[in-house]
Amino acid sequence: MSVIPWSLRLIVFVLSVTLMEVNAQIPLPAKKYSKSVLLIGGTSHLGNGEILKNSAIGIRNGKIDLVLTSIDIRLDTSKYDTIIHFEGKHLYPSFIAPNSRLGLVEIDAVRASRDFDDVGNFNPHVRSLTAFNTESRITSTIRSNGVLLAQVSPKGGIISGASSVFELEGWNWEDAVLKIDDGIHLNWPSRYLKSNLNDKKKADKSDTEYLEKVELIRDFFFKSRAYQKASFHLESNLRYEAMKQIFRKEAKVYVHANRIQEILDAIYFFDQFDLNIVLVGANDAWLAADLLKDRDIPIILRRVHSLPMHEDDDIDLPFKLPKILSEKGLLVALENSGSMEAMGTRNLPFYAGTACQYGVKKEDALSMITLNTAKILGVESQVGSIEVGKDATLFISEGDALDMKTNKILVAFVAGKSIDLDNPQKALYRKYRAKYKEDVH
Amino acid sequence: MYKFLFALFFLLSSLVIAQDWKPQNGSFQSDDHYTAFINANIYKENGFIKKGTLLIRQDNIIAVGKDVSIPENSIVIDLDGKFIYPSFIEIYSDYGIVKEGNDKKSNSPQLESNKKGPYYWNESVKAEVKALPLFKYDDKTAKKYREMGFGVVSSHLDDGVIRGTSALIDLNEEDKLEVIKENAAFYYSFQKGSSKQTYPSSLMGMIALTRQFNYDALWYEKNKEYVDFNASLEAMIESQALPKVFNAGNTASELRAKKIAEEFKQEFLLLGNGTEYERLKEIKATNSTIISPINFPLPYDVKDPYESMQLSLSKMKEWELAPYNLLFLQKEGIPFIVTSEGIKNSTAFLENLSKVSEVGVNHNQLVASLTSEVARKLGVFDKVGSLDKGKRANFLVTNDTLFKTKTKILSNWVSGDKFLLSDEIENSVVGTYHLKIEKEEELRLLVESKEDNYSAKIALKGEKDFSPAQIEKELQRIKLSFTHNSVDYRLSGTISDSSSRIWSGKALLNGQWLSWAALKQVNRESLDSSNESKIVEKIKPMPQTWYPNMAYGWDSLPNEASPILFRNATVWTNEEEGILKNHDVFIEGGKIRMVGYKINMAIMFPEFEKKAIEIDLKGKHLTSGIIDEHSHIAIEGGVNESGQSITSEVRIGDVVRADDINIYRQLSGGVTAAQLLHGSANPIGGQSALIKLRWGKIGEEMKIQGADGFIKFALGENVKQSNWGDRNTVRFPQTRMGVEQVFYDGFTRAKEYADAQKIHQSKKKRDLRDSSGPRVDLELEALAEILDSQRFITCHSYIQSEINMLMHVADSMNFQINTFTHILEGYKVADKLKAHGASASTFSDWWAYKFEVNDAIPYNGVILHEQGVNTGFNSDDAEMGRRLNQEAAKAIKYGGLSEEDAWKFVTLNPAKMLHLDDRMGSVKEGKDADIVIWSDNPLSVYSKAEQTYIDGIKYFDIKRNDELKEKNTTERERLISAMLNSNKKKEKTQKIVPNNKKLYECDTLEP
Repeated sequence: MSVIPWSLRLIVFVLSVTLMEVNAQIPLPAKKYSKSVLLIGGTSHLGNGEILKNSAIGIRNGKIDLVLTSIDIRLDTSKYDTIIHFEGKHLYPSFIAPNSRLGLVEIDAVRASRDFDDVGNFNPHVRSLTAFNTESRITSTIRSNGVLLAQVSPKGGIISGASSVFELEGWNWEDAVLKIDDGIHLNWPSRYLKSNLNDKKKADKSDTEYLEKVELIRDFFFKSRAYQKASFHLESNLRYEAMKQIFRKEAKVYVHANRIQEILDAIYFFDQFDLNIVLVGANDAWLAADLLKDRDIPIILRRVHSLPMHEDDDIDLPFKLPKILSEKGLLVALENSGSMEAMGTRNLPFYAGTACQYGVKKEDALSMITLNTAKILGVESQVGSIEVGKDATLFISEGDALDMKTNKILVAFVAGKSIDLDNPQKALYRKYRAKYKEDVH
Repeated sequence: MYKFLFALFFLLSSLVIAQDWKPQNGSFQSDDHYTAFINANIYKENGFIKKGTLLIRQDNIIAVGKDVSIPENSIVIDLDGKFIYPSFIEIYSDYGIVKEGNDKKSNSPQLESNKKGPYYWNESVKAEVKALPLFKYDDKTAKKYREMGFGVVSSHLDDGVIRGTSALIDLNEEDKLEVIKENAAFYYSFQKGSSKQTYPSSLMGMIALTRQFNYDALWYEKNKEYVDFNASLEAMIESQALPKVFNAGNTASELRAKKIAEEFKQEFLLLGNGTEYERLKEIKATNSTIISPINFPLPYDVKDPYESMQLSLSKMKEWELAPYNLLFLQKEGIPFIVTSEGIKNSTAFLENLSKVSEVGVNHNQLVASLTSEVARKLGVFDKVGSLDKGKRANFLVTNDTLFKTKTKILSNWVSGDKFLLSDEIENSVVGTYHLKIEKEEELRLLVESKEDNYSAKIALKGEKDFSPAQIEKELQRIKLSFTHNSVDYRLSGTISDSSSRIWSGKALLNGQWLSWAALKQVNRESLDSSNESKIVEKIKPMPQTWYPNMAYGWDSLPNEASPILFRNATVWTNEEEGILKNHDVFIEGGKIRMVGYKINMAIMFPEFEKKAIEIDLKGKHLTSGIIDEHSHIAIEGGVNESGQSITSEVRIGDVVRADDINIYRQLSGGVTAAQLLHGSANPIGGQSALIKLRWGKIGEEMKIQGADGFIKFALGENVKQSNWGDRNTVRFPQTRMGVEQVFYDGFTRAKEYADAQKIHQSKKKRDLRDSSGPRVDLELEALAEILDSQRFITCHSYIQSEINMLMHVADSMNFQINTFTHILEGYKVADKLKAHGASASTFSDWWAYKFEVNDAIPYNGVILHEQGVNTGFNSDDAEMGRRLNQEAAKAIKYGGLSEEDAWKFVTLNPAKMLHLDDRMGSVKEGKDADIVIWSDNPLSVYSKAEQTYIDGIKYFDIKRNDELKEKNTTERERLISAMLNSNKKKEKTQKIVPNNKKLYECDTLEP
């Protein structure tokens, strides 16, 4: 048994030296770690609303096998190969970024690097799974802020395609995937069209084709449901095949809608089908809270750091929505889609911070980027909280990880493997500090 | 000699009268009779001649008055009870002017003018255009205008920024129409029009173009003999004496046009969008005549509360206030004239005029604004605009005084020719009649007008059960049929008197001819002369304008800063003292007067001891305001003038927009000042505006007085148009190599320009007479200011090579780069930046959105700072702009900067970059009282700005914000209920569409 003093920087140091030797900008995936680890002494935020001070968290065979306070008499430190003390520091389950194009794009403006939006309106058969790039330079920078898991989602069209949930760690997508094809993403049509640049009046206008578009969706769902009922097809249809899991309720429908009318139309639309629905975006969802609650529809809320949708809105409405929606008893997770989507994913924890600033209890705000998200994505049996039996996908931060001032990730585990928290940006930092003849550490 | 002149005079006048130079087929049809309108109420300026006579012959008015002798050869028309007004004059029209087609689709951008010939270099300058040669008679439009009440219109080519000269044309039929004045007025606008040339692509570009063109005209005039003929400049000079109409588009732009007017000592008639009530004080100060459209917005269809969420308070308030605009102008004593611009049909025009009258605009002034005032402004009051001897016989006959709902224009006379608009007798058919058919019971007949037809109802006398009847009128004959007590009645008859009060005829009933007669009931109300006073009572209180006129606007603007003593705060001084716990700050007169521990007012500031408001800030943090070095909020009409590679002549300061909600939102994030930058679409962009976020004030008042001038430069992908699609591959430069040469080209020319100016200025007065000096070139002027250290560069930049390049250009041309903004690879050349003396204004953690930001790192700021470069974080984004405190905190996270230094990244350091650190950026005695109170450590995500002061005035308060929200809600409810009311009345409504004003970023382009 080796006891590592709380100076965790050592681990980081060792890892980064290794990295510099191989001169890789993208961190090397971690080796399988067969030894057991006990993390002891610090504050553990469990993700389920609970907080354990002076905690002891055990990791064995990739799973969490112990969650106790360190003064608990049941604690037997001798059972662990390695003990890490983290007094004064904070332990969190991995933050989870839902609805992200992470790994599907490297540089927004470079077409060749964009792999998230394919041709066609109804593409449930298009999957993010096989396009997910584990060598993304962006992903490594996201991990360094505590986001170790992401739902990687296609974008565009009406049905964009199927997302999968990934660990942000692994040699290839097969290694990294946590849940394959967890659901399809449906962009509910907008009642208003954005003004286009050639329109002189520069005003938005109502979409006269809204109802037709809804009809197209109805048509698609009816036809694909009918398709599932036949056991044999003379002509198979890849799109309908891809809906099989949806109708079996093994995968979810992520319905993206922001305006109340669209949300209502979507809710009633799906009343005709017995499906697992998640509402994504949900700016006006507070107006339909009862309906959503009645149907157990959870919410993945649009980026908290957004401007209000309307000029007259409360200036801080987007900051307050997590509080408003959770108060109504809805299950809420936070996301980061929009401009700077992939690279901005590393700011996900601070959205929870803002939610907290605007009235959500700190541990509940944490749940909005951990356990709630895991529940919504259907991976709560594996990840989302610090509980015995779940994957040891967690990290330790120097301070409060929801505040940019103190979010500083010292060590992180993905399924029990201690991962390299280095990234190309840190490498450039070292390189140029060396140029200016200063020490990195 | 005299005899000769006399003879000539007679000859000429007879020519005018006879018009006999035009051959006619067949015998001459001469008409020299008079027409006399008698017993009419004739409108003279400021009153009526009752029972007066108007005598006209051919085109002209011969006499007007009470005692006019009527010649024998007169046609006499009795207008007893009717009214005669001069007909209206439309100042803003494109009647009959056919636009040149410019729908040639081009695949690549057109940078230079395609117009061949000696014209100005920009196609949206059409100064040489004269309306008359382009005029083609347009029957439909003429009819529309006549129905509105117009007699003549000033018609111009409605296309381009500088549009040329209009012609004043009357609205007679094609073979009779007359040109009252060939060159009537000169027209400007802030609309680019059909030109496909890339420049100008923005409002500020149009302003710059207008100014440059005026400068060029002035220079051309003096140097005509030495330079090539230019038709556009020539026409501009010729038009000096003409009245000038400026279609500015909105109230803020009217003020912009006024600035141009002042620069060139001109007077513009300002056409906005009828919202002058938004800024009455400033509009009054322009001393200009306002041309006001009256195309009031329709009420919105607000029946659906969900849909109504998309409707902004600003739109609703605009709806409510629109009909009051003229009243506001009238009360402020601002001269105005009215245009029908934007209104499609006469019904709407006349309806809106009566709305204006209903809210209380004076009848006489309203008439003047459509007639005499317009004529005076156009310099044709000797010909039109009133009913006076010798003027053209352009007038309206109405059944009542103008602008009442029920008033109808019966006929519109254009140059003595009658256009019947509404059948005079027909009109009086409407009413309630006693109908008696021989041997039958008396009935009551109700006749109403229904658009072009009549509808009728019939009932037994004394009963209220009306049954429908069919009525038709042809000439004097009346046809009436109905079913009563299951008997079919068919009546035919005639109107038997001139006022249509008595009808009589025969009815065929069960095969029997019976006599019938109908007698109209006298409507007492219409005879009641005290009507006017009743209307006055009905006038509602005038709706209130907010500043700005939208959600979160002020009822009235805050003026004076009161003395405030902040007690027991944690003060982030940004000075040597560092962060002081439990300290007091006293502000007064817009300045910080003292920072200290337990300030004793009785000793230090006895004069304010009683007056000062004391605020206990225990547990709170007090800082100086955040300064955003790179912002694109509060800009109107485009952030980029992307039409050319060098646009140093354009100025963001010309287009600051006061009604951007993001100003208020950013106040709530503790921002007090910002540099509003031109975008990054070209290597040399436009001049910046440095503003304080004085929410409620106009753009001009937000600008920081005495601040140094700044300008935006840009490098890399945006200026190369790398991500603009395959179409944009024409404009030079398309590579980083070319970018360098754009700078050398610009500065080489600027240097030569400056030298030429200097030589000119050093000449003795005696020599100056021969030479007017070099042409004023606004573009080179701004670049010369840079060479002269009078203007300072903020350069958008990413890659180290280009940063290095620009510093070399600067060094070799002997100027300095003040600030590199974005500068995401700054960390690679931090030592060089330090050596050059440039500041760095960067992002905390942006990257990977373009190829050139692939090496961006969040440690950039800290490395630059450590190398001694003055470094800050900026937003370039309306959303992030209100969380710059959090962005600053990222310098702690990435690179471990101290809290104190991190805070300076968004306060003191940007103040230094903007040369404002002598008055902003720290909490120090003598500096501006731009103060923010935070609930917690301002760098924490858990901290909120609770109060934001600018110049000692509280512009944001988290508690007042709650009140404002309530106020917004109440106001919305009130207006929605008012609109519901008009919805119920089945007035026409318009559909609600989202009113999202555009957010600008560096690379936002307008078409």
